[in-house]
Amino acid sequence: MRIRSTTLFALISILSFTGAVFAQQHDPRDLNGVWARQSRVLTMSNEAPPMTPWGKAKFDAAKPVYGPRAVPGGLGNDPVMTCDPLGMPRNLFLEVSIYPMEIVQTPKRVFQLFEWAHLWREIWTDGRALPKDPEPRWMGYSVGRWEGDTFVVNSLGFDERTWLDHFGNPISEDARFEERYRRVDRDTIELTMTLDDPKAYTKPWISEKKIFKLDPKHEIEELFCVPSENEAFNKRVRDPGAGVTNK
Amino acid sequence: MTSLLLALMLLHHGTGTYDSTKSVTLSGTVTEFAFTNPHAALFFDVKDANGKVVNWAIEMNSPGVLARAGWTRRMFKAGDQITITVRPAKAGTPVGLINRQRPVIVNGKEVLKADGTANPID
Repeated sequence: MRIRSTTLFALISILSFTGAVFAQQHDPRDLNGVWARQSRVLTMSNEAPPMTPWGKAKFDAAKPVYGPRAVPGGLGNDPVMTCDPLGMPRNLFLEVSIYPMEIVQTPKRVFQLFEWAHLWREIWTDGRALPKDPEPRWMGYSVGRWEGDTFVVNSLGFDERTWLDHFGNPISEDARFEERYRRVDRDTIELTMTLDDPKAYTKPWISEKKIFKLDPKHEIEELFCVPSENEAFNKRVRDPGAGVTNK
Repeated sequence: MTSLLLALMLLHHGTGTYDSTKSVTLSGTVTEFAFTNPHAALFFDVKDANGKVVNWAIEMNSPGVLARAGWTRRMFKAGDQITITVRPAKAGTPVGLINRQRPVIVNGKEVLKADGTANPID
């Protein structure tokens, strides 16, 4: 009798322990899945570092349609208003907090699939170095590696025509950008970023911690920014909404 | 007055086009539902107090987001009688952003409950 109850107790202990392990189980080096941003801070952090004169001039020329400097849509010059590419790192900010992102890991590359604009980004993980003095690209150039359970992505070669974010903060071709992704539990990825752009800012801009949550039921939708449809929308909705008349 | 307006604008981190402090409920006749990317738009005729017909344009979210919330491109068709609530444009023109905190009624039937889903960012 005594032996039986001890055995039963041991069995229950093993079962409940195994159950707990299965419930928590995740591979911290597996980032696959559809992820939705939780934070609504739509840039690196609320406090931008001081800008250089070049950065300030670019900031002043930007007329955002969002945030504290917002002008009506029809009066702004945000590249998104004409379906121009958002580029990097901007794809990680406002749009991804509305439209999720999928991460797909393959042996030599990690892909980020952004629902907004039906866009992908490739992060090379085959050990290659970042290019030296590359031609600028909307998405820049990115390589990734694992530091323990943190996926570290380093990027450069961004296109100066992009805005850093919806507030019209600048980014230059000299920018270097680091992202650190950590899957802290099955449902959560934490991301911190550092933007080092001496042409635009007087010191590096370190982000607050961004949280992505696993959204297993979500399938990435087809969401193109369609220039012709967007132009019609601008003429029929945004312009009159801003009091701009066009015939 | 100007500084008060400025303070309100600084507090408000929404879009520059619409007045998120105002909400207007409108009834009228659908002229077109443009289920377009990246933003859908609904156009409908509203009769003002003097009997003058004004065509309103309503900004909505993207078709993908709307579809996830159960919308279809056939949700509104020309001739439908609708009642819908918007955040009106600050410019005072007949343009608004749909306010999903209020229901959408089509031909007397509540087709969308007041649940805030698929609300465009404001």
